[in-house]
Amino acid sequence: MADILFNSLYGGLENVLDLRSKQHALTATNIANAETPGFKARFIPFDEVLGEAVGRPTRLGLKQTNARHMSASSADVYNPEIQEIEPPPWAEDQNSVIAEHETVRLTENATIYKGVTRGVSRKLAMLRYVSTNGR
Amino acid sequence: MDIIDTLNIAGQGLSAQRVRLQTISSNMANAKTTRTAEGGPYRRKAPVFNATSIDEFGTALEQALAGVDVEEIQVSKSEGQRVYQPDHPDADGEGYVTYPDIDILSEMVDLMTTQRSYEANANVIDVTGDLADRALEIGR
Amino acid sequence: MLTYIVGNTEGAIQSPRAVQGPRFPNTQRDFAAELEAAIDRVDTAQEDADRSVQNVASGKDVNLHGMTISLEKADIALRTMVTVRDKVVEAYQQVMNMSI
Repeated sequence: MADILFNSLYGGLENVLDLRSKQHALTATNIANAETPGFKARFIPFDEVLGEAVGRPTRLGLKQTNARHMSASSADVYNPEIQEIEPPPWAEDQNSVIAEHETVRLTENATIYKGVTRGVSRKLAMLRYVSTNGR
Repeated sequence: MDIIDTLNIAGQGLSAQRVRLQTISSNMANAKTTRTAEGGPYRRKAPVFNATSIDEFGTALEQALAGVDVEEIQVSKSEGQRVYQPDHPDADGEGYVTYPDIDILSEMVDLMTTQRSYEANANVIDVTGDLADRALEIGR
Repeated sequence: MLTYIVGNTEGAIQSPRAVQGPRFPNTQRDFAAELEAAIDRVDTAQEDADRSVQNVASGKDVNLHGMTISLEKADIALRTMVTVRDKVVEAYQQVMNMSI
């Protein structure tokens, strides 16, 4: 029973963690290749990947459970869309990595990852409390 | 695998920047070297970076991951700067000494860029460890 | 799951009506009402918490302190409800154990 409850509500969150983890790897790629000639910075366009499903609140009703899937579907998580940034015309080495942007992306991404792990963790703690009949 | 890939990528970044640091040090130390074992003045060196593939046959995302390595250390083909110093031991027949085509200020700028890049890669490793810790804390 | 726990408790509260015992006006209704109110609070708090986590996860509204506070409130509401339920059951058992 705990599985069903947890998956339907928070399977979506686990997908978000997967995507954010992959984005982190992409940022590492960009930072490592900040001076590689011809290298184009790349990232996961989250607004498009997470799509319309995002933002719909779910209901954990004590009187009824009416869970809806949130966040990305499984197909998107394992093969998310990747966008590349074109280098500006004045870039001599045709490299489009801007270190400051990558630093911001890194921090934003990490913050959301940490926020979601905390949310999942607290929710799990509550479920565990309930499953031991409140002891 | 994301964590491991990320660490490898950042590690490669650190290594590449370290090589760059060594070439810059060499350039700065030899900015006035007019005589080398190969004959002629010291020639400026610069690393050529190259993106390395993490997984060529994976998903679009896996193919987008890339580390970096130094493809080669490019040696400058520049003639260098000729300065009229007839008393210099390395002066040529016309009294000119050829100095390396190295601008110290330019090397200093490269040095700072290298340092920032190195720190950025090191920071990636720190953050990666932090994220891993958070994942391990779920449910604790 | 929560339905299961609460359902049993509600059942325990409903059945005493059939028993002809000492009458405590409004007592049963107060207990049941209080428990029901606590359940509603948990429901609302959990929805708020879920929504706040959802907002952070989607990146649309990364309100971290809003999320952590909602999560704590949901946790407190849950524990409060369980405490109320325990007290209700305890009181019921005391009543049932009174010799007439």
